[in-house]
Amino acid sequence: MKRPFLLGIAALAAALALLAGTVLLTEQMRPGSSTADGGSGRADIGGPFTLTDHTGAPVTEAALQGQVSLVYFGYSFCPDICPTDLQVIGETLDLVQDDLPEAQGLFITVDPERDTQAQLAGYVSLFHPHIRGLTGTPEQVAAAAKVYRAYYKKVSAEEAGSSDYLMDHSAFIYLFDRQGQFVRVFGHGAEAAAIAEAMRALK
Amino acid sequence: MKFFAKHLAFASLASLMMMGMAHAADGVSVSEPFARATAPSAKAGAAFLTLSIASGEDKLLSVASPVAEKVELHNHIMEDGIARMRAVDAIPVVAGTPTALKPGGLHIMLIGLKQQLKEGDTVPLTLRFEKAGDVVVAVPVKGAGVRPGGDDHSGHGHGHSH
Repeated sequence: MKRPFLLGIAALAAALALLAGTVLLTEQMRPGSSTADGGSGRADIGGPFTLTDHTGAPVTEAALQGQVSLVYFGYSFCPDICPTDLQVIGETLDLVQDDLPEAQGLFITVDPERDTQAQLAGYVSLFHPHIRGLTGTPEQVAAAAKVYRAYYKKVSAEEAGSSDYLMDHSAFIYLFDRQGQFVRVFGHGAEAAAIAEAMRALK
Repeated sequence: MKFFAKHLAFASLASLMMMGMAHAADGVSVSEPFARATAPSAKAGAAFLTLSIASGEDKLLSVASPVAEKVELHNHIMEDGIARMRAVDAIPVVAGTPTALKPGGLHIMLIGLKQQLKEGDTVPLTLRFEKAGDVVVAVPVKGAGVRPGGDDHSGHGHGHSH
């Protein structure tokens, strides 16, 4: 009796946390709140993480220091949302190439089970040479998603009606300044030109 | 023999569609098909196209392809910034309103890819409709993040050269 009850509480708490995160992100996605005044107390997105990139190199939050970065959570099994967003990130990196040649994209998988280092290496290189694919243990990925307030959930093959499991995941492009401070978030469907403009403001 | 002839007719119809003649007198038309390039070891890929019908209605029931162990019809729903992908049983086609399978929505999901989908390749798909039967479509593979309506800034060939 006790266990289902606790599970229920946990599910409710998770739902509330998600709702809060979504409200927060939605709030930050409003055009009026997009000022690039880093360090204005909006530092609660981003933080410590330990992952491994697609070349096998360890990556921590220190990777955000020194250049403007776009961070995205997704998974390579995702056939349409993630490639679209990665394409936008790649186009954005092209647009800012002259102003911000060191700018980078970090693609953090929410599906470490399938997204091995080798898998990510083949995947991110389809989009842009300055996009790094990051993976890790399930615990490391969960910890990273938590500090970024990214949401993901494994959906079983049965529940998805598919022959393999799928992932629900938030599709946000997070912008970080050179100091590794969170600036703002862009939703799915954002235009490369708009993201590039926000990045140039951090030059 | 008659059966075979019918399928041949569908196959040639499909090749006509590929050449831009996307209008079949009495059946379903398929236009603007494309698949997205995948990583070398990718387990999944996606194909997109637009379905229309001159009159009446039909239903896309299933898709098969020699390049994948399984092909499924999927939909993506964006809710509060969260992408949720789910399989769908069938995709209806109704006269007057083309049904677009496009990134971010309905798509043909290729699961258990037997080969890498490389930009420039062509992938055969057999679309099975409730009324029109089987329609074979040759689907060109475009860039990994390509969106409908063109070559998606072909200058962005970041692919394998980097």
